This record gives sequence, C-alpha cells and structure tokens, in this order.
Amino acid sequence: MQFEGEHLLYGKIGHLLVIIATVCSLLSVISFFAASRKNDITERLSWLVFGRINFVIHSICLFSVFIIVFIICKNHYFEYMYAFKHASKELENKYLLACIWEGQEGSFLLWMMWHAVLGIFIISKTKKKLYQPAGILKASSSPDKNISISSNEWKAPVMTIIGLAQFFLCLMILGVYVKDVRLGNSLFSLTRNEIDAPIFSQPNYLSLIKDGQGLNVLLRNYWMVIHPPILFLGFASTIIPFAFAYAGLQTKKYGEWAKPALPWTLFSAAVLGVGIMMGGKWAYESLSFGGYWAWDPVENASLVPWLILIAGIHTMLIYNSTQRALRASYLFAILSFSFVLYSTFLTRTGILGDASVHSFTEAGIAINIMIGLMVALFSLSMLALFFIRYRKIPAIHSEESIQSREFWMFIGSVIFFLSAIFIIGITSIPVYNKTPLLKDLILQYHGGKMALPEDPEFLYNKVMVIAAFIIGILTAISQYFKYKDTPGKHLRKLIIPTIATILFFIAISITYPFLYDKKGAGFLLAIYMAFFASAYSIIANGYFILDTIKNKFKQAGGSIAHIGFALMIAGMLISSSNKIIISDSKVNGINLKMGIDPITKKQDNPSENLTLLREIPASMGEYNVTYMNDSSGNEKGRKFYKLLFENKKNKKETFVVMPDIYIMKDNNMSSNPDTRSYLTKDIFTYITYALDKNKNSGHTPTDTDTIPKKSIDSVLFESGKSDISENSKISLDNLIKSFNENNKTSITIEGYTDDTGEAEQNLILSKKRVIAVSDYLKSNGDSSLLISTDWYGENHPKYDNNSDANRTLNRRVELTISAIKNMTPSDAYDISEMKIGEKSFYNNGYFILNKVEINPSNDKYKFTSDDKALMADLSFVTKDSLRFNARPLIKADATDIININDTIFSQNLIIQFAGVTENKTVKIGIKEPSNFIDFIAVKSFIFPYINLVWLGLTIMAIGIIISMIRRFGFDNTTSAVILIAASLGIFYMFLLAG
Amino acid sequence: MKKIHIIILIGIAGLIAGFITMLSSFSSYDTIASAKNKQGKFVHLIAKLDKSKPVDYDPVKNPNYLSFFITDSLGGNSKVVYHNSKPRDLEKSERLVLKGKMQNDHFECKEILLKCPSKYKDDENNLRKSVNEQTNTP
Repeated sequence: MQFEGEHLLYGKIGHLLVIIATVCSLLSVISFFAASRKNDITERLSWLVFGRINFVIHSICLFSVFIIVFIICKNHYFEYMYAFKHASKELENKYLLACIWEGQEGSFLLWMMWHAVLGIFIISKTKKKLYQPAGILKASSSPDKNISISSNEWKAPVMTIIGLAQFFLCLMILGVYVKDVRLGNSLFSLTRNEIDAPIFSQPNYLSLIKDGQGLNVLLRNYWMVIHPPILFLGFASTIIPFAFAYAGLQTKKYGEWAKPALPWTLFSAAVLGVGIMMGGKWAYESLSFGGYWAWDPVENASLVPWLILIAGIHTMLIYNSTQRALRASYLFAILSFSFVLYSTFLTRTGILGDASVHSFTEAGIAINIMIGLMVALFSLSMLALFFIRYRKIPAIHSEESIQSREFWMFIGSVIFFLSAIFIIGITSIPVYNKTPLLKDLILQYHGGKMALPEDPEFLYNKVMVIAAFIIGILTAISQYFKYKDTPGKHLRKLIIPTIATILFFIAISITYPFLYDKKGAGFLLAIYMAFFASAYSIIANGYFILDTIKNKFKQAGGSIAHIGFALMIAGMLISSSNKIIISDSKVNGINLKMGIDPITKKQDNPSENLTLLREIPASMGEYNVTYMNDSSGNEKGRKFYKLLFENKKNKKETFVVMPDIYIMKDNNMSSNPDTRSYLTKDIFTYITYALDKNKNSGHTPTDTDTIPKKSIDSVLFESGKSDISENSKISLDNLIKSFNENNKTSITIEGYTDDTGEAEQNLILSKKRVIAVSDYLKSNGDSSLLISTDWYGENHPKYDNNSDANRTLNRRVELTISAIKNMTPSDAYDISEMKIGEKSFYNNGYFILNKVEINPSNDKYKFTSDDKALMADLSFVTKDSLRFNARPLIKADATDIININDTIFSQNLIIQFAGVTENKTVKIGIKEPSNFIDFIAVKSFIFPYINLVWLGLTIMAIGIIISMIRRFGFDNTTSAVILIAASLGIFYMFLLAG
Repeated sequence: MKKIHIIILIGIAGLIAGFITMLSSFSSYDTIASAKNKQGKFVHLIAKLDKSKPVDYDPVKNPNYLSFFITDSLGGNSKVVYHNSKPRDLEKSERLVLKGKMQNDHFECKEILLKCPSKYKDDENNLRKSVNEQTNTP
C-alpha cells in the first residue's frame, strides 16, 4: 500500500549511515588491533592509517545520523516512532535536544558521539608531542614519521578498545533482523510497523495522527538540555584510562601508560563530577523529593565510577612519583569503566524496576542480552587479562614508611574504593533478587525478596559520613608529608592549621550547632566529626597553598580540589542536618494527633503538608504565607500557584514563589518546586495537592473571580500587532497613578486575540501582548507590583468573531486589579458574638455554639495544659436540614495569635474563632465565598547554606582542571583559555543561572 | 604483611561486618497475609486499590491523613493509613507498592509508589491507546 505524506528518505539514509558506522567501527577495531600487534613499522603504520580512516568515517556517519534524527523530531515526522514517542508540536524548540536523549536509542547515540570526539582527539592529538617512549624510534627515517610512530605505541591499543566499544554500541541502535530476532532498536523504525492499530491500514493515517507523545514534563528543564551531554561525556571519557590500562597489559610496557593516562583520568573525573552534581541540581530545582541527592540507584550508578576514578587518580600519582601502587592503578582504571557499563546494565535493562524513578523501562530481551554481553565482555575479559598478567606487573615489595605521602594517599584511595563497593553492593539488591542461586538463598533466609530498609538514605548516610570523616582528615594532612619519607620537623607546619581548625570548630559548634537528633546521638556525633574533618581539610589545604605552593599556581590543583571537595561535604552536612520543614504542623504549633510508633515508642509526626486556603494567610515558620491565585503556564496543563511569603517580624521581606503543577497528556502529574534563594539559605516550596478545577475545559475565566475585584481595564490592539498604542499608554499611565497610592496591588494580565490566522500563532501573539503590557507597567510604574499573567490566544473570545467590530474588541489584554491590602481575613469575615448554647444565622441556615474547650485533646487537636488554645465546637444546620460540625481554634504563643480555621467544604463555609470579648462572649467569623473554596496543600523547606554545596563543587572541578592542564602540558595561553572558560561555565551554571 | 595490607583488611572486614549487621534491617516484599504475620515489621507490599471501598482524604480538614483499602492477588485485604498528602491518580493506579508496617487492623504506610497504566511511554499498549484516542476523536 502507498501511504500519504511520509518522508521515508530520511529514514533510509539514516539507517544506511548507521550500518556504515557499524561496519567501519568493526574495521577500525581490526586495523587498530593489527597495528598494535605488528612489529614492522611500515606495516604497522599502514594498518594505523586504515584504522584511522575507518574511525573518521564512522564518526562522520554518527554525526549525520544525529542531524537526521534532529530533523525528524524538529519537523514532527510522526511516521517515525522516535519522533512520535519523544517529540510533540507544543514542545518548545529549546527542548528538542532533550527529546532526542530522552530515549534509549538517542542516549546511546549521544554516548557514541562523545566516544567519537574523544577518539578523534586521541588519533590526532598524539601526532604532536604528547608522550614519547624510548625504543623503536631510531629505525625510521623522516622526523615527521618518527613522532607519529612513537605515539602510535599507545594510539593503536587505546583505539582498539574505543573502536570495540563503538561497535557494540552501534549494535544497540542497528535495528537489523537476524531471522526473527531484531538486533538493536533503530532510531528510524516506523510508527506503523511498531504499533499494531487499525488506523495504519489507511493510506492517510498520518493526517489523522495529530501529535506525538512529547517530552516527559519532568525533563522540560534547562538542566535536561545540558546535563545529559555533560554526564555522558563523563561516562564516555572513563573509557580512556581503561583503554590505557589495556594498552599497558597488551604492549607489556606495564608501567608507562600511567603518565599519559593521568590527565585523561583527571578530565574524566572533572566532567563526571560536574555531570553528577548537575543531575543533583536538576533534581533539586525541578523534582519534588526535596533535595539534591536521594541515593537513588541511578544516581548511585553514576557516583560509583567517579569514586573509583578518584581512587585511580591518587594511585597513578603515587606510581608516577614512587613506582608503587601500579597494580591498584590498573584495577581502578579497569573498574571505573566497568562500573559505567554495569550502571548501563542497571538502568537500561529494567532490572531496577520499582526501585528507581529514573531508570529506563525494559527495552526488549534482545537488547538486554546485548547490554549484558557487552558488560561481561569488557569487564570480565579485562579483569581476566589483568589477573593473568598480575605477577608480571612490577611492584615494590618493601614497606612504605608511615611518614610518607604515598602511605596516606593510598589509604585514601582504598577508602574511596570501599565506599564505591559499599554503594554498588546496596544498589544491586534488585539484581540479587534475580540472580539464580542467590535468589533461592534470599527467599529461604530472608523470608521474601530483599528490599531496602525503612530509611534507605540513612543506611547510606551512616556509612558515608564516616568515609567523609576519614577522607577529610587524610586530605588535610597528606600534602604535608613528602613522598618516600618526611623529616619530623616538616610536619610541624601542620600545627597552625590544626589549632585554627579546632578554634573554628568550637566557635561554629557554639554559634550554629547541628540539630539533627532524629537518628540518635551517635549519628549526630558522626556529623560533627565529618564537619570537623571538612573544616580541617579546607583550612589545612588553604594554608598549604599560602605557605608551601605560594605562586606556583599550576601546582595548586590538588589542594584546590581538596578544598572544593571538603566545602561541598560541609555544605551537604549543614544543609541536610539543619534543614527545616516550615510547613510541618509541629513548627506551626498545630499538634495533630498521630500514631505512636510501636518500636521506638515515639510520637510519629510525618505531617509535613500544610493546607493553604486561597487568600487566607497561614503561619509557616517565620512567614505568613498566602495562596494568592493560580495562572496557566505556557504549556497546556501547567498551572502556577502564586504564594506570597511575608516575614512576620521583618515586614520588608515579602516575596512571591510560584511552584507549579503540570498535568501531562497521559494524566500524570508533576509537581515542580519553586525556590527563593538567599546567599545563606534557600526556601524551597512545592505543591503536594491541588484541586483539579478544570478537568475538561482548560481554563475558565471565572477562576480568578474569588478575588474581590477592584476594577477591570482592557487594552486593545491592532490586528496581528502587539505594540501598545499611544492612547492605551495614556490610560495605562492613569492606571499606574491610581495604584501607586495603595502600594500593594495585584494585577492579573490576560491576553486574547481574534480568530484570524493560525491558532498557534495567536497563542504566541497573545503572549506578546501580555508581555508588552506587563513590561510597560513594570517600567513605568512600581516595580514591586505583583503581576501574574495568562494568555489564551483565540480561546475565550469576549464577543463572537463574526464582525470586524467584535474582532477589534477581542484583540485585547485584560487587566484585573485588586488591592491585597484590603484582604486581611478579619475584613472578610462576618463576625457573630455568641454565648454557649446560642444560635446565630448565616445565609444558608443557622449555627449553634455547643461549647468552648480549653487546650482540647481529641482526634483533631492535641494540646497539653501548657498551651494556650481555645476551641469552639459548633453545629451548623442548613436550610435543607443538613447538619455539620465545625471546630475552629485560636491559639496564642509568645509572639503571635494563630487562628486555625475550620471549613465545611461541601457548604463552602470558612469558620474562624476570631476571639473572645470582654464580657466573655465568643466571636465566631463566617466567610461564605461566592465561589467554591479553593485551596492547595504545600510542603516547604528551608535549606541553610546550600550554596556551599554548589560553590564547593565548582572549586573542586576547577582544582581538578588545573591539575589536568598541568599534566597535559598545555602552553600558557591554551591553559588560560581552558581554565577561564570552564570556571565561568561551571560557576554560571551552578550559582547564577536559574 | 605490610601495614597497608592490614589497614585494607580491616577496611574490608569492617565493610563485611557492617553489611551483616545491616542485613536484619533490610526489608522484604510481602503479601498482605504474610505482612499481617509480621506485625510492626517494615515491609513492602505489592497490592491493588480496592475500588469498592471509600478513599478518605479531606485536605481541608487534615492534609496529612489518607486512608483507603487494598487487596492483593492472593485475596488478602487491608485498610491503609497514610499520613501524607494523597498521591494524584491513586484511583487510576493499576498497582501500588506500599512501604510501611502492619499495625493491628490497618497498614501504616510510609511511602506509596504508583504504577499507573500510562506512566511508561515505551509500553506498546499505551502507545496504541494514544494513537487510537487521537484518531477516533475528529
């Protein structure tokens, strides 16, 4: 059958390119391997040239494939499964890249592209003078040839490994059938072949498919555009130390690889470290688990290779200075890439199942087997080769002195390595449950499949806090030792930083103590110890730079990286130990009754959500928080909730946060936090529950009607234009004058268009109009105006679009102005003064004050005799004889009076215990909003000093990069360019953007 | 035996010892029936929402109280109390993973993971549904 409107040429070319790439990668492996085995120089060189040509063709093919996929997604060619699954028409252009690496196949492609880039760097770079081992040089004649041969020593075996990895990764996206088994999932498979639905028997099926699935909303974040490429560059670059280790074993020049491999290992550590923390920052900014690290399996799987890389860097340094620790260097170089592969296995085969929120779902058995094969082939065969050659790898058998730097560095490496093993050991629990023999053992002795304990984070934290302590101390002292042996008096230099640290630690412990006592005194002590060690590391390394390194800037890389690492750990300790949940009912003095934990016998109080009724301030820590209103976002289904925070003491501190809720097409919801950042703390808020008001109809304009409107103004526009006319400017100026008088004004600006032109264009036009008006108000009026915006395009026309006059009126921006000042709750309530047993009336019936309880203790509140709380017990009877009960409460503490209102949701009533008069009557406030009561539940945290985490990470990355530059031996200009670009980039990303 | 070897061995021994002592704190996946036999022990339940019984959540009264009923494939059933906000789409979920403890008549839940029918794009049924939905509604 002939289908209409398909663009099949792209797919055909794309698929052909993938096949060429696969073949070329295989040819390059064969040639590079042959080159590494040949002793004859001309033969070796010809193999090498052939391998290089193949690798370059392979790389060009990969990049072309990427461009084709990009075109397919950008143009919404939904005949291709990949575009249908990951792209959609409403997707903004900036997320196009993110939608390519959302899928399995796309992320494999990204990974391969980085391998290709690194590979090309290696084959071209070593042409220049990188490293020249002695030996076969002399045999050749021309000097140019000399150099290329000398570096070829490493080039061939290193490229063999990279080529082999490329070949396997290509298979994953090959999409070729061998009998009935499909080898790899192609990026270019067709929707009609993949999905079995009746529609695909119609020639015009494409015109019926209106939109693709689109990018998962959690991933619509600028971090998702930049974070995967960086993380994958980190993953991809771990192959280089691995390949150098192979080169060492293969060429039997056992020790010489460590020098050229070291700068690459540093590169890998810097990029991977930044990539991991970008993931953390993304989680912090856009996921609602309330933090930057959750010990999620996918996070762990990327952390483990990094820990091993750090261990490897230190053993390579030891080897380069003392000829020791070579075998450990081999092991770590092999294991870091092996764990990258293992993490691929964990996250892509669906084996983690329920255990992780991030992991890919199962991609089919064939792919799983291929991934499994690749992991086994690379890791196991390299480990086997390593153990076979183990005895031949030179090692010094004498014992190192305790007073030597290498001794302490080696211990540090071991700690990093053991931490990695511990983390991966726990992360692999879902794997144990599926491993044949182990599975039976677990069932027999554990009584069911193994699962993480009640508090999985604590499981990791209690071990890692000890590791942090040891690492902190080691990074503080190690540099003061010299390699081989240190004269005793040299160590006296440590006295000053040690004393400084102790004084600093005492000062901090008194002024800003850690308050985390949930896990007992032992864990709190461990936190203090880890904090001490971090402070020690910062001070000792800082002093070392000032005292010993001085102006030899290039040598300070290690010390700077140590300072950054310690600062990051200190930031993590402070921000998580002293995190305050300000929406916690405990913090707000509402003692809701909770169960008693049968094991710990402690009061259990996980009530971290707080309900905010619209326009009614609630107390949250040191703030009064009011849920003002909601507004739609750019994307359909996204809703922002405006929360006004007002500091109770410092009236000047008021700010608005706008967390949002995004209901996706498939009805999944994502709640995206919003954060108010200060230099010393972040206030982090997200919505945990919201009413689903407009399930069917998108936006209904009456939504905002609950605000008592002061006035509505509108600005009209010319057809297709978004410029504000001179006349309109005059009326806007008048408007600005009017609200300068009552300084706190909230304006909702809503934009509309007529029905001429494309709906999509009109939506953009209405947005432009809104922005024009909003900018005008902001620049000509008070910049502290609370403006919320919304735009609807040609939806919700005010008049039917049936005449030019009506169309003119529909090309409008409406401004709804209300003064917040007039909305304090007492104004809005209808107050009745009552005695016990008395009756009072409201619009829809009457109510009786049954009793007033002092410090009530019941199913709703739990107060003790120390509190000052009064609860009114009221019965409401409606005109149609329905009965309801309400129990509002008033509570006084040292500084404040807090009203805890009750609500009869079905009757749309808010009931307040407003106070007690002098003659002992009770004041009950009733509010009957004309619209139904709108509310949200929120969680809100304060993270103190979280900026230390980002600052520490930035400094650490810069330190590692300085080290790398020094060991690559770049000239000064190149070094300066790399350093400045990387520093600015990282600093901007983590501390300024967002 | 070098000092460094001793230190490494101590590290490894510590790790193994730590792992073994932690072993008992690890939780397990249970059925409702077997969880009832482990009163007060932290377990993971895989179950379904019982749609014939009410889901009780009134965030205006208390945003931190949700209760509902579950059944599992072996016919067990239980009431669940969750002191937190109601996960959206609880009613639509196909499968629930509940972490918590059985306490007398009810399951005191600490965390709920939802398996929604549409959560995974890669699921072919879901893709087919999406195609059908788009093409049936003109």
